[in-house]
Formats: sequence, structure tokens, C-alpha cells
Amino acid sequence: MGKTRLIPILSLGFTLITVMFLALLVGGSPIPTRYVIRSLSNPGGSGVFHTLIWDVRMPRIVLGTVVGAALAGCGVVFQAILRNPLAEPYTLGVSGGGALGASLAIVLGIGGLGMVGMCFGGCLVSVFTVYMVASMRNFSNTVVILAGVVFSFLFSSLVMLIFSLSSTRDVYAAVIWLMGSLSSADTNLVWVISIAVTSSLVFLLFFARDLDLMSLGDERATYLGLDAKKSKIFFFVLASFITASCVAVAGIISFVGLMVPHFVRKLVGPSHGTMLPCAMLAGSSFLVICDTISQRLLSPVELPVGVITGIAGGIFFLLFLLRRDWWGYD
Amino acid sequence: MIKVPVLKMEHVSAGYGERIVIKDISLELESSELLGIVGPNGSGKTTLFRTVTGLIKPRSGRIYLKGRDIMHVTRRAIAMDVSAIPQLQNIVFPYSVEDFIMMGRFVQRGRSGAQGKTDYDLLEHVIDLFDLASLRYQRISSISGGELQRAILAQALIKEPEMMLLDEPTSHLDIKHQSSIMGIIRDLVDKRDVACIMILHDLNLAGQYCDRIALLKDGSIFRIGSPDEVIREEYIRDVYGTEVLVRQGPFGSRPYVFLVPGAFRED
Amino acid sequence: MTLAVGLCLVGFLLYAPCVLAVPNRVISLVPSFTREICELGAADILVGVTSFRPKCAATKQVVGNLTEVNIERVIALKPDLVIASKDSNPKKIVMKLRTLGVNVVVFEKQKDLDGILYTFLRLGKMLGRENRAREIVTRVRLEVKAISSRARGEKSVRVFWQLGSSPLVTASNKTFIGSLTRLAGGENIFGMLAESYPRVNREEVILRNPDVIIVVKDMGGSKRGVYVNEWAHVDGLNAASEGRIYTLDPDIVCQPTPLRFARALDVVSRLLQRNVHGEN
Repeated sequence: MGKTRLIPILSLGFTLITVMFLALLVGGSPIPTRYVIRSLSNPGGSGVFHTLIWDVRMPRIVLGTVVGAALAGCGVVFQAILRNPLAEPYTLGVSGGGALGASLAIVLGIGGLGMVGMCFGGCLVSVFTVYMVASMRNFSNTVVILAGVVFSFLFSSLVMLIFSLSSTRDVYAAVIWLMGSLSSADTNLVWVISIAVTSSLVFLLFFARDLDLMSLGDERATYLGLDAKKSKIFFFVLASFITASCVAVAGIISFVGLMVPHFVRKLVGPSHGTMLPCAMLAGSSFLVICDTISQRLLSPVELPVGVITGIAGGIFFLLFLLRRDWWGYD
Repeated sequence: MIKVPVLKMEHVSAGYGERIVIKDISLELESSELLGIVGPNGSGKTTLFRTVTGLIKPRSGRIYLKGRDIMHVTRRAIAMDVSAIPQLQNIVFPYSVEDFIMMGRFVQRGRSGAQGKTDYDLLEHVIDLFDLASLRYQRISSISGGELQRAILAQALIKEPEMMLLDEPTSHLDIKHQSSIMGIIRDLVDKRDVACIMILHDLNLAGQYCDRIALLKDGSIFRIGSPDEVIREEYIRDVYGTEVLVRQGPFGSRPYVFLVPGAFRED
Repeated sequence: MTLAVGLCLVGFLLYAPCVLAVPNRVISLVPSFTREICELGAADILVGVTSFRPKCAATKQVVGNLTEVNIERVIALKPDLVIASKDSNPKKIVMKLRTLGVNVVVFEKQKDLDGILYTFLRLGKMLGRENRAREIVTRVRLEVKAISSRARGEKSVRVFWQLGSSPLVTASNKTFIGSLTRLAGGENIFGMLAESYPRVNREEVILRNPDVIIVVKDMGGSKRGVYVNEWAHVDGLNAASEGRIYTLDPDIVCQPTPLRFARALDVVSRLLQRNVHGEN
């Protein structure tokens, strides 16, 4: 059993390393491969290509890897604790709150780190409100999901309200920002978020068995020895923090957190000890690939990465609807 | 040495929110005893189940598990000794039967403990016991209701509990599987000294297999005792509000209930 | 033939009142037109504007923003002319106002200086301020000519315009910024892109190695001069090594009117032709 568990993890890990290396070679602009290799083999070097590889391309790939793993991982967590295969990291209204925070920042003229902070704050406000409503109803899954939907609507209406009172310029900036991008001007921010999110994800891996139990339902999980309510709150808070960090630095990237868990579950089975790390690795590969496509498809014009993931996600959803039996649910 | 009962309830009342569902329940359960809980819909059977398992806190009264007050025992400690199987509900994710059974060892293995030899041996044992060998790598979503119920029982047994609670283990099962499940449970009680509480809808199954039966009415114990002490025409009439005939069954002195056509009384 | 002439005549007679009479209650649904009306000295006939009105129209009633217009408020102001533009106002609003019998004039998209000047002249004629309009247009043409002749003969400067940082947004030659750059003797490194305001790749900016980077401050959530100067540290970038990364106030390049265009051109040409003017 131990060995069968390692095979998918190792092969997905190997895939990720290959994808990251290819992404470094392909990147966002055509640079001859030998320059890339030369820059990579000489970390202390200088020059345009060197800066380009180390300060632009590398952080972007790292961010893609981290955000992809985080979204897929949080998707797995929300699907398990809510026992709903259609849950995703944004189910609890995190994105709505993030959008509200970011649009407020843009309209108030707060830029740079302040805006990241406002966005993160917005996410936490929305999670907190959903949490408060859910706690009044003992964290029943239906209430949690409904509260998430309701607050998503509420927050997007508030965003619309702000838009209708702002100048076209601000609206444009906010809309573009919300579409999501892994291209960040602030390399230091990328490193800080990457370290924080990666350590949270590693921490999350230790709780794979709790997720197995939670996915059987609160009552069963309790009888198997888990404090279901505490666990739910723990996962809820941890996953929301991770998602909020991702939204703050990369905007809203749809479908990664929904579809990667499904594919991986189909591939390696639903047992979280295998599935959670696999989903994280696959999410990373998927997002890095999508991001490279979004950069190179209409180069030098860049597409929002959410467009690429969204198109892939839409096709996936059709498959899900048409061939539901194939996915192992009924 | 005085023998401590596995479970002891003293004047327990419990419910949800403002609503009190079970009132002043007292009972004791010894090891290697099978107690059946019967009663009409809404009489508090499932609430009693959830109170004993510690899922809901009693409003008043005390519950002792092997002499310890469950209010002062951790979730883990309860799960160490007690296996509880709630009513069959949809399992969303298609785990393999083997993985699913192994989840029962969570309390012993913990979060990150590796699969030890004990875990393995126990797995093989319960797979044998419930005749699941041919299904062990199948998805839980692709097996039949009877097979699923066996897998759930295997998951409950793999942690070697001292007490088991089952809520309607035979609903959705055909008679062959009913008989097989009840047989297995009876065996566990007899051969491994497991104490068992089982909620049943079917008075005849209760009468056939249980050592004692508690008949609930409006959240209180109406009668408790051996099957022939509890399953009586006048009690059934009082509690269920319908006319029945009770006759001795073909196996020993166990009572058997017959419905009387057209005897439904509107109270 | 006779029929056609007759129809033209009828048409002329029907529309003559609106064309010939000078309106005295005007609503502008486009901020840049509001500014132009002020520059034409016709602020007194303006009765309604959209939000984000320029100072000269600060006391005028607001009838909506670019996307939403309060139709009732427009009607209540009894305008004899409503001015809209194709690239700023939704068609729906224009149709709605027209079915309600409001006289709406919709201006075409303006892509370059000629477009701005033509629109300005038309607006002047329409508001009975034709002489003033001609005067301003002549002056602006002269100024533009003078400024662009300064640049002539100089080596073309490669420019990157940054309108948003995260994601990175620039302007192509299909915008005012494009024509400003060209007239100021610069070459927009993303000038050939099809989109007006495309999102571009950071790596491409570095590869195309601009001599000058102009960051328009207000865009992409960085008002109050807060912006990350990410380019300053890029090793080997011409603009960075020569210290030619500038920030620009958005008011200079947005809402262009003939007068503002001339001013913007002056500013941009000074940024690009550093050597001519000897400033940094």
C-alpha cells in the first residue's frame, strides 16, 4: 500500500519539475535556449537575459506553482469538509470579499502592498461573516454553502455599487486586476506569499486522514474519533487563509480548485493521503502550463490566465455533466 | 471485584436546542449483551443513540462509559471503546472498500502513523469475517447496499470496540442480508463480549435476536426487559396505537408480532 | 431625380430648425466634450453633465456616468441638444433618448489629432462658436507643428508606456498616447498591437529594451504617486541605465481636447527629447 501511494506522488512530482523547467525555457518571450541555460547555470551573473530569467520568469513560475498547488489543495479541502464535489476554494465567498477589498483599494487610490493588504482583508471579512452565520447554525454544510453563495452575491453587488460610483479608469483597473494574473511587479511579495502558502500546504498534508473522515459526514467522523466541529473550523480557517493569500497576490483564477481535484480523484482515488499531495502537484503543473499558454498564445499580448483555466474548466464541466457515471458519483 | 457495567445512564434528558426529546432515561448495559431499542417514529430512538455516543450533550443526568463520566472523556477516548454506526447515508466520495475500512483505525493510528502489522492483521481479519475479499479494491460507490452495510460494519469492528451502537443496521437490506448481518452481530456479542445497542424498527427482528428490549414512548422508556416481557399486545397497542397479535414464535419462547388488517386506530 | 431633390428638400426643411438654430440648453454625456464646451466658452449653455466633470462645469447638474444615464433627469432638464460619443456611451441610452424625442448627436470615435480637431470644429459649429473653434484649432496646429519639428532629425526614441502595473497594461498606436508619441519623435515599442490598451508581457518589455519608460500614475490602482518602480533595477535596460523612467499625471494624457493635446505633446516631447532641451 505504501508503494502504490508513492508511485502517483513521485510521477506527478516529476511531471511538475519537467513542466517548471519547460516553462523556464519557453517563458513569456522568445529567448534562445542557450541564453536561458547560460543564465540558469550562472546565478550570480548579470545582463538583460539574466534579469529576465531570474527576476521576471522565475518568480512568475514559482508563483504559478504555489498558487496552483494552493487552489487545488484548498479545493480538495472544501470538497471534503462540505461533502460536495462541486465545492471550490471560492465557494465560501472569499473571492467576493477579495474583489471588494481590491476595488475599494483602487477607488481610494491605495496601490502596491496596501492593495494586497486590502484584498486580503476583504477575503477575511467575507470568510468571517460566512463563519459567523454558519456558527449560528452549527456549521451545517447546507448553511455554510448557502451563506457562501449569499455573501458572494452581496459582495459582488457592493463591488458593482463601487463601480457605478467610480470613474471608468478605476473600473477598468479593477476589472483587469480581478481577472487574475501571476505577473507581479513586486518580487519580494511573491517570495513572502510563496513561503507562507507553501508551509501552510505542507502543514495541511498532515491532516489528510482527518479529511477522509470528514468526507464521510460529521456524525460518522465524530464516531470514528474526530471532533468534527473543531476539525471543520480548523480546515475552514486554514484553507480560507491560503485562498485569501492567493487572491491577494494573483487575483481570482477560476476552475483550478474545482477541476484539478476531480481529475486527480479519478486518477488516484479519493483517499486523501495520496490524493491531497497529488492534487497539489497536479494543480501546480496545470496552472504553470496555463500561464505559459496565456503568455505565448498572442505574444506579446498577454491573456488573463483565468481565461485559459476557465476554457479548460468549461470543457471539463460539460464532460462532468454528460458522463457523470464515469466520475464515480451517482 | 465488582463488575462495572459498560454503559450506565442515570436520569438522562437530552434534545436539540430548546426541544427536549428524551426524558429521564436510566439503563445499564453489560458486556456481551445485546439491547434492542424499539419505538414509534419520533419516540427518541436516534436522539438516544446520539446521546450515548456523545454527539449531543445530555441536558441533565449522567452517562458512564466503563465507569467514566463521558462529559469528562475526550472524543478520542470514547471512539477507542465505542463503535457507532449511524443510519445508512450516501458516501459522496468513491473510496476503495479497503481504504474505507481502514478509516476505522484512525483513533489507534492517529494522523500520521504508518500502517502497522496490527492494522494489517485486523484488516485481513474483518475482510474475512464479512466476506469482503473479492470487493476489497472496489469503489464503495459501485457495491450493493448489503455489501456497503458489511463494509461499514467492518470499519466499525476494525478498532475492536467494547461497545457497538447501530442505528437501523438492516434497513434497505433484503431478508438474506438481514439475517446475515444480525447473525454476525449476535456472534460478536456472544463470542467477543461486545456490548451492543441496536435501534430496530422491526419488532420481530428485535424479538428474535436481542437479549433485552427497551420500548420507547415519547422520549421515555415505557418498558425494558426480555423480549417476552416487553413485546406484549397491550404495550404495543399503548405505544404504537395499533392493534396487533403477539404469538410465540417457532424458535424458543421468543414472541412474534402479527399485524391485524384493518385494526388501525385513529387516536 | 426630381423626387430625390424633393426628398432632400423636405429632409432639409424638417431638420433645418435643429441644424440652424443655436442650442441653448445642452447636455454633455462625455467628460472630454464637457471640457471642450468650456474651452469654446460655451459653459453657460451647458445644463447637464456626467460625473467626473471638469472644474469649469462643477456647478452643472449630473445626469449620470458613462454607462448609466438617468433618462428622467435628462428629460426634466429640457435639453435641445444632447452630445454623446460612440466610444463612451452605450448605444442603448442613445436609442432610448431618441425615441423620447430628444435631439442626440453622436460623435465618432476619435483616434488621433485630426479626429480631435475635426470633432472640435464640428462641436464649435453646432454650438455657434465656430470662430473661436477655428482660432483654437489653428493655434493648436501651429504648436503641434512647432513641437514635432523640434523632434525632426533626432534619432527616434523607443518608448514604453505603462498604464497599469499588475497586470501590465500599455497603449498601442491606436490611442492618443500613440499619436502623442509619434508626434513627439518617439517610437512606441508596442505601437503595432491591434488592441488599444493591451496587457503585455513583462519579459517582452525587457527584450524590446525601451530608451524611455513613462508610467502613468493613476492607472491600475496606484494613485497618489505610489507605484512600484520595478524597472529601475533591471540590469541592462536602456531606460534604467540612463535614468529615463518618468511618471506622468494621468490628467495630462486622459480626456484630450485640442488644448490639452498640445500641452500633453509639449510635456511628452520634453521627456523624449531630453538632449534638445537639456533637462532631465
